[in-house]
Amino acid sequence: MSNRFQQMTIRKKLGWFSGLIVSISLMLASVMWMLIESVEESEKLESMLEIQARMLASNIASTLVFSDQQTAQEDLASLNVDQNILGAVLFDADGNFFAQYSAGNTATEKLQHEGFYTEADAILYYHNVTLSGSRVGTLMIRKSTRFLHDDMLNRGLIGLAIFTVVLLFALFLSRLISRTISAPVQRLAQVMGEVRIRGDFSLRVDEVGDEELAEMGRSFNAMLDEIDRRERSLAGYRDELEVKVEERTGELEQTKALLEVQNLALSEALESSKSANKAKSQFLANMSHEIRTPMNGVFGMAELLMESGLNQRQLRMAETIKKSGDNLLEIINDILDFSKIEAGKMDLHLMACNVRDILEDIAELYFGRANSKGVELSCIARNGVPELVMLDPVRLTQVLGNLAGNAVKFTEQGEVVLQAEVEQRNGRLLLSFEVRDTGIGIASEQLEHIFTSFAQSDASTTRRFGGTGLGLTISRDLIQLMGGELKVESRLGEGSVFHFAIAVDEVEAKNGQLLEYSQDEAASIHALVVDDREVNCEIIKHHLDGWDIKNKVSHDGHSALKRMHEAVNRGEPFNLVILDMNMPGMNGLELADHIVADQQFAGVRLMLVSSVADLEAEKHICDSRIQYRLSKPLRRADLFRSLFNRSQSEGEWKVATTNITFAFGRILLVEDNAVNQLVAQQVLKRAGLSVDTVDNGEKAVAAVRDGKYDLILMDCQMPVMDGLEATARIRAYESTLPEPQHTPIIAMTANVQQEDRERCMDSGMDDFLPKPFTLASIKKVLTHWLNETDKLAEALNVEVAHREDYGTHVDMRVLEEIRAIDPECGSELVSSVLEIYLHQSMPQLLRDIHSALTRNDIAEVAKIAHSMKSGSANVGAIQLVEFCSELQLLKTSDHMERIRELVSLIEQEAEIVNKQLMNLIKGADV
Amino acid sequence: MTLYQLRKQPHNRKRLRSISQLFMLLLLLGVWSPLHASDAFKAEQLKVAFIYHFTQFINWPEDDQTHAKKVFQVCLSGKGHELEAWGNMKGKKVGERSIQTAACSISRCRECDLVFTTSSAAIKALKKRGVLTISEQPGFAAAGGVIELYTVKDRLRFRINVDAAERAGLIISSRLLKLADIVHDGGKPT
Repeated sequence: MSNRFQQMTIRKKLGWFSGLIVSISLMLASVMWMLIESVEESEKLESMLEIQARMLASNIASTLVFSDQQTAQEDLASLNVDQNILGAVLFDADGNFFAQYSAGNTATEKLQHEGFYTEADAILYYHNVTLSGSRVGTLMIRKSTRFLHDDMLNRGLIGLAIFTVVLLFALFLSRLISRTISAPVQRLAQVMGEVRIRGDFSLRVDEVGDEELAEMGRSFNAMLDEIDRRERSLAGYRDELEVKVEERTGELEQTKALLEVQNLALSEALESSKSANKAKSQFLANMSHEIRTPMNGVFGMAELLMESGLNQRQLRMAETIKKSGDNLLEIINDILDFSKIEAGKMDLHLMACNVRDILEDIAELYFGRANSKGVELSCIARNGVPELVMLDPVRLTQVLGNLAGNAVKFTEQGEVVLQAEVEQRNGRLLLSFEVRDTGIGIASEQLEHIFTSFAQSDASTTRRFGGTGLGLTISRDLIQLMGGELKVESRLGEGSVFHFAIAVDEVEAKNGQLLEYSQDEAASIHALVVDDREVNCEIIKHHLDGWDIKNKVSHDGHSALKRMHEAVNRGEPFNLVILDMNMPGMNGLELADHIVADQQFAGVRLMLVSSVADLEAEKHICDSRIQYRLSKPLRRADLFRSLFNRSQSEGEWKVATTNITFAFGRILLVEDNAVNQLVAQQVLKRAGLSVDTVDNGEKAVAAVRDGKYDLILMDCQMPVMDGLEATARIRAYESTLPEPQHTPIIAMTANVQQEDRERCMDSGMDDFLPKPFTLASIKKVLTHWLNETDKLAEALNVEVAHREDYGTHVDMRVLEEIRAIDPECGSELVSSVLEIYLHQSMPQLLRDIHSALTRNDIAEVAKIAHSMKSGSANVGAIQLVEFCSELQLLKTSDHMERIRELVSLIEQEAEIVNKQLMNLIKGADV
Repeated sequence: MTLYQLRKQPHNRKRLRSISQLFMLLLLLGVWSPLHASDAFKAEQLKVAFIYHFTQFINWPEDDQTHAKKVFQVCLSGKGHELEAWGNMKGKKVGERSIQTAACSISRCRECDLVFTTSSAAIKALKKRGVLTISEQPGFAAAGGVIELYTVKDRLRFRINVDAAERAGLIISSRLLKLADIVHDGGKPT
């Protein structure tokens, strides 16, 4: 429909439009007029009715008051002059019917309030009849409205007739007018059409008529003129163009021929270069092998030479050869790697590896070098770095090693930090590494060049620091191969940061998390980290936070102590302090001193972080105040194990190194003798057990009530409460527990008699350990009762060196045993044992036995002799042991003489032993 | 014993009859008097209403004297008036003037605007200017009184002597006249 409309001629459209406009206008006008009229009519009707009513009402009032119904009726009847009035009713003052007039059907009327009421074909008007202001009745007149409707209908018809006539007239007029407009437009359209179809640009339009239309015509003509003109010029161009094209074509053909020739030449060159490359690669592969063989020769021979019994001078020369060989090998490796990369022959061998291990290994590798320069080297793999990822560990190590090595090399003071972290990007893991140092830095002009092969900062740098200069280039290339990009930021004199990131795939760790811990364990630790170096604090803090361990940081001893006091006052004391050894002002050990000395800090565990090369620390490395020793560079796993008291996983058992304490058993040591305590503790610690020590039976019972132990070593004879009673009490306590518990209790006794043993067993002990301890005996007991077979055995497996007897007074083997407990600290231990024995135990015991004897207290004498015996046994004073053994058996006054004799013998022997042991201490041989 | 049972017995029947007659008589007397009494009251009330309404259709002459008057005096002369019925007129007005009612004898009535009389004898004395004379005495209108009230078929009607009204200077509305029987002097109704 709309299409048809659009395709109509303008004339027809105009016609339609005007017709439509006229129609609508007229219709609107008519309708409005009719509406207004009818409203007026009905209003007129109403007002007329009102007038009629009012007039009648005033006249009829008297009939009401005088109750003259007849006259009233006559008055009402006067309404019949108006044919439209259908009826009227007069009500009296009470609303009762009084008089009526009706022109047709009589309807029962009822009284309403004054006003107009509409009915189907009629209108009612109620009017109050008043006399002197008061209402005496109501008049109602009903008037027909039918005539109104009829009127309206009439009007409508008339209107329609007028409407039609006017419409036709309007249409006729519009047609006339439209012709004047549409005709020129049509003409224009026609001409345009012809121009288009015939392409005849010579046609023109008449320029007469309306301004707008004439203007259109003029424009159209002008346009055509222009087109005509251009046509002609175009034709001219065309001809010119053809000529030019021919020229150019000729030229092009010549060029084409030339290019073809060149092409041939190039492809030949490509071929030859390819084959040259191939030759190069093969050469490289061969050379690699060729070079290494003589190098091996050089190395091997140099080493052999060094062991062939040379004098100092010759040895030095041989060493130089070896060192030079090392350097040469390093350079050759660099060159070969570089060439490999250039030739595109470098492949990455991806495998699952532990990033953290790699990082920590490199840190360890370069730690010594850095430490000797006074430069701090630390590393951290941040939380989030997965256990295992797929990458080429060899190449990664090479890169990190190179960067770390450079950092250490070019740093004279400050620190070097190796960092690895991870972020998620586009569904893959982005592993980024950073090597930061506070070294000499790189000038911005040089930054570009450092990656260029064979270049270093400047010649002087090469002389100072050595190296091929290839390292960075190779690293950069390797990183590129891995999919990353090596970036560097640096300022001269302020240090540098080397950074790269590679996308890797995480690998599922088969063993699951190696570092598992429970929230309770973590929550039970409140740690204070004390280190003057910010980066170390940050690293440790990062690890602690990752394990949800509450921690605080202090940068020196004084503030640490202050913090600790404050914490105690707040009711949130620290129970673990991680101390760095090397701090200005107060060093780690000094701080440890303060902490241990302060009663408020009883029970605080101390963890000392020191470098193995740290000479200061080495002296005190066996300090018993320190519960844990960690060495730098700090390995995360080591920190974890110390914090959570874990043993190492299978297959990784390390035999007593300085830095790890294991605990897979909690031992309660009940022993009153100081020497024995020390020895036992060391043995147990060496085995990796955690030890709680008490010095009498009562405390032992209390300790058992407080917590569970895996094993109790109970001395049989102690003051306050001896071992037997304590055992009985413990067993009684255990039987009251809801879950049955039987802690193995091992009696430690110097008594080897059968009856004593039986007594021990009867009281509830499970086994006994004769004093003095040997490593073997302890091992046997522990292995049996702690169910850790091979591991424990291995741990305790130590060769005991045999030494010559030191006369019959002191059996060195015993001391050797002690020393063997801890290869590193053994000597210290022995010294401590001897010190205590010589300066504390023995003097006291001798005094006691003397006074007991003067009092003739034989029982006391026997008791002291027993104590002395066990103590002496520990230091290998075998003769003393013999005397004491005999003495403790003499319990009756019959043997008084022998008793006295033995006592004096003991005193003499003690002196000899004293001298010998003192020599031992002073001598460096032990 | 019920009345019915009493009736059954012959000797009792006679006695019963006289008793009931007496009873009825008493009843009638008892009821009748007040009724009778109220009937009279009501009739009077109706006349009072009519008389009031008359004033609404009549204009009194406006002399200086009457102008100054603030009271519309209704005088009741003669005997037999139910004065209580006239209590309704209290508070009503004729024009601006409040209605006051007073009983008086003909000779003594002063300043009356309206006289309602029960005796016919005083007509002459009453024929003054500005006085509306009303009475129920038959022939009152013919004799020169202005309005005469009479009852026909339980309906109260009235005759108006237009000449008398004219003499008294009273202008009576046609609305009232059309409801009345018109009478001229001499007693001839028109």
